[in-house]
Amino acid sequence: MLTKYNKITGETCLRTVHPSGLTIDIVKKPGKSRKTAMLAAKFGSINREFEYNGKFITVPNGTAHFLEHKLFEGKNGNAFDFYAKTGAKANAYTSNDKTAYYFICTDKFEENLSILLSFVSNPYLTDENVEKEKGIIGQEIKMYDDEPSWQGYFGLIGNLYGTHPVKYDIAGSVEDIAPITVDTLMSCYNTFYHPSNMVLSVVGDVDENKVISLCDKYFSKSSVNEINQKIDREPQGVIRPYSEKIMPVSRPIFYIGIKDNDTELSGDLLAKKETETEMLMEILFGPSTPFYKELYDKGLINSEFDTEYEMSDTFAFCLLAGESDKPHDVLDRVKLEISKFLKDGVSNQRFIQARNTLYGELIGSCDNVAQISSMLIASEFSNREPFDRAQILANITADDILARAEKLFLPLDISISVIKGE
Amino acid sequence: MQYSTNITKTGIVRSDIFSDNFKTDYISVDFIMPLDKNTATEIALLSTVLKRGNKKFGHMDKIESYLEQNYGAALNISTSKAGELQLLSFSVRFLSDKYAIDNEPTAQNLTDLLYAVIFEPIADNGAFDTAFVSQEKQNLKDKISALINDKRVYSLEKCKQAMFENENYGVYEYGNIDRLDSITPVSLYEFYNKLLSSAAVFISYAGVKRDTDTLLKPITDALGNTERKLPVTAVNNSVAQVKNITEDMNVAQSKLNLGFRLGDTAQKDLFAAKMFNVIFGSSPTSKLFMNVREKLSLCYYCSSACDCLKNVMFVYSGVETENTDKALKEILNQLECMKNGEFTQEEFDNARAYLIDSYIQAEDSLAAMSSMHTAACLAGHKLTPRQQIDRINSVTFDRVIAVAKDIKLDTVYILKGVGGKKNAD
Repeated sequence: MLTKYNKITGETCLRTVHPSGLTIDIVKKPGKSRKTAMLAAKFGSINREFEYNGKFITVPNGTAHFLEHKLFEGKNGNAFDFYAKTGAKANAYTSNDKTAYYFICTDKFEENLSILLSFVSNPYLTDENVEKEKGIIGQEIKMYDDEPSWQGYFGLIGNLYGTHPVKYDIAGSVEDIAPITVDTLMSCYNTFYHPSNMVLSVVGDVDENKVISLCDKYFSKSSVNEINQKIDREPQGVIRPYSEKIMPVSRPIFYIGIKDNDTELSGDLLAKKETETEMLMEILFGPSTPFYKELYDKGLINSEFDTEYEMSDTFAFCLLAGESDKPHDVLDRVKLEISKFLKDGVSNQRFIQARNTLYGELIGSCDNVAQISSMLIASEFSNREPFDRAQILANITADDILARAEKLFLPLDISISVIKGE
Repeated sequence: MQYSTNITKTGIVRSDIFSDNFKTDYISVDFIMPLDKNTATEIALLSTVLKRGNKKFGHMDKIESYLEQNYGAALNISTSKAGELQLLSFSVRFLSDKYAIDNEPTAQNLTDLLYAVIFEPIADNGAFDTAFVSQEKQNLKDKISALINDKRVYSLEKCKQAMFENENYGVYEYGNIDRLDSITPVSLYEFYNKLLSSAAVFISYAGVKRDTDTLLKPITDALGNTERKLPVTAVNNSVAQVKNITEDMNVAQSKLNLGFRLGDTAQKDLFAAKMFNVIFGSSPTSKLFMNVREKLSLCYYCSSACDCLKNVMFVYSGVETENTDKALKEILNQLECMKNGEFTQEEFDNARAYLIDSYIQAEDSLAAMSSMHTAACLAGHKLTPRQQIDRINSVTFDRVIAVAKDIKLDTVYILKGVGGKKNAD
């Protein structure tokens, strides 16, 4: 087992690749009452086209999410029934690029880990239980249909992406999921739930040897499974600069997106890009900026305004979201701010503030076992070092930020999605 | 983990939770007033006006810069309700001194900020800044109107307003738009002074062990010598007639909300009521989840939540319009099962494990520990999580059944989806 100590955060990650191909990351936190484990497959809504039994197939939108729901069900009952005996809080989620199953507990950690490893490694799918799930997921989809924030967000993604499968809604539509069968789900399971395409992260006051021996029980030695899949590359440019949708909302909500075309990175370079971009967004649009003050004072934005950088290894974009009666005025000011920045650069004070903020967030996140656990999974899936941000922040310069800005903003692929009231 | 709570001679509740397990520290100051339609809007407005600026640190952008310099510390000002109490809460979360790169005294820095935000807002001649107030009035108006954007929250709020038409519990904690018009920079400032001098106050610290009495002394001193008392929540356990309300809206999914009065038994037996809630509807192995969702496949979510101060419970679910009656019937059927004692030893044990786990999990988050402690003080029992676990462990089957038997349905509120056909074919 490889021991990686990070001096800045004071955290140590134990890493090993199990004979089955499963990558295991463990961060021990003596004295913490919470213990957590997350088992994730690098399989999300963008992994739709792949080779299976010698031919290329395309699965319906929403399949990864559907499979996530179904893996909770075992021959002897729902995973929740087993967790219920230990008091653990368990859940799962599907994103664009991964499916993750996790629990957080304070007692009976090994028992909980057995439950997790057991239900993810033993799919129990029947025609009947697959049909039953369509009713539940159908209501989940309809809930999202009525959620202005979700609709605005996916409206934006549709504006930015025309080729890359990130453009498809994670849950699919009621029509999309209708043809899903046991075979559809098993083709995905057999392809993407191979241990070599999965990561287990464990954080808390745990015994690493017991973690490994439980993995021995549920995952057997196996050779790496090469996945042959197709994820269409996205060309530069936006599909449309603007879209709107009418829904019952009191006031327009907007999602501004800036497409990042610099996507062929992994490992250290990807980590560096992420940190630089997050700092850049903080420097340009954070709550201490003149931009924020001016728009807030003019009533163009309110405290709901927020920015985010969404990133995977094949796509990335910046998001600025909020509520405004004049979303286009906000968009114009965003563009102006970007051109000013490209001309003037960044002051030392703003640079240091943004760096301190990210540093504080990083150290603070080490208090939370769940945050560490998710970070470990994300790091492994993009071949990064855990806690690598600490070192990046220590070395980053204002020139790095400016260089990143030029890559991100030249050309400026920007679009806005608005949800308006009737 | 080391808990201590003292009540000062003026009635301020001062709590410390010391732990070496964190890299951050947390301080909160809660002002607690009765929930009342004549003051709710003012309290909500104060939560944003006070964020706009203070005499020591300047306007919002300067405050944000200060937070960023202090390693992205977080300042939060918010309002919330608990029973018929309204809280105006100020909190700061920051990196512990020893992780500061240049050894800045973060605890002192953030306490200074907290003090300035609470006691030194930008105001002159007995009035807040006019521009701040008028803009925050607009923002609050937008916020109140925006309730409709989230149909789940909106329909639950409407259910509460209908159920507590004649009780203060029905007051929305962000106030109401009509009331906003009458608020001026002068009237708000007068109210602010009244709040400072008369509200009940909780001051809590959670984090690494330190001399908090010295650190927080300026705040306790500034609160003066007036006597403070916690307001009480009026509990009403009777239901004359069940209210049924349906509202049509152009949405894809209908929302079903039920309001219940928990009854005399729950009021006297808080921990049995908590056990009831978990078995019935607040966990993923609860009766509601297992039957309404898993067995009948009627919904994605169906859960219950209690406000034990007001002694009430709500059940909410999102369902297909044509299935609304079916879901309603099943929810009430599951309640009937609880009343008849139709739950297994296993369900009972699971609920206990679930609750105990929740208490212990809170010990890993300073904010969670602090707010759990505040809730314990509001409930009056002031028990630590470990002491509450002992109470949970002593709850019996019969006590849970007794709680269930006393629960009465009060209000059914349905937000009926009349749109959403557009996608189906």
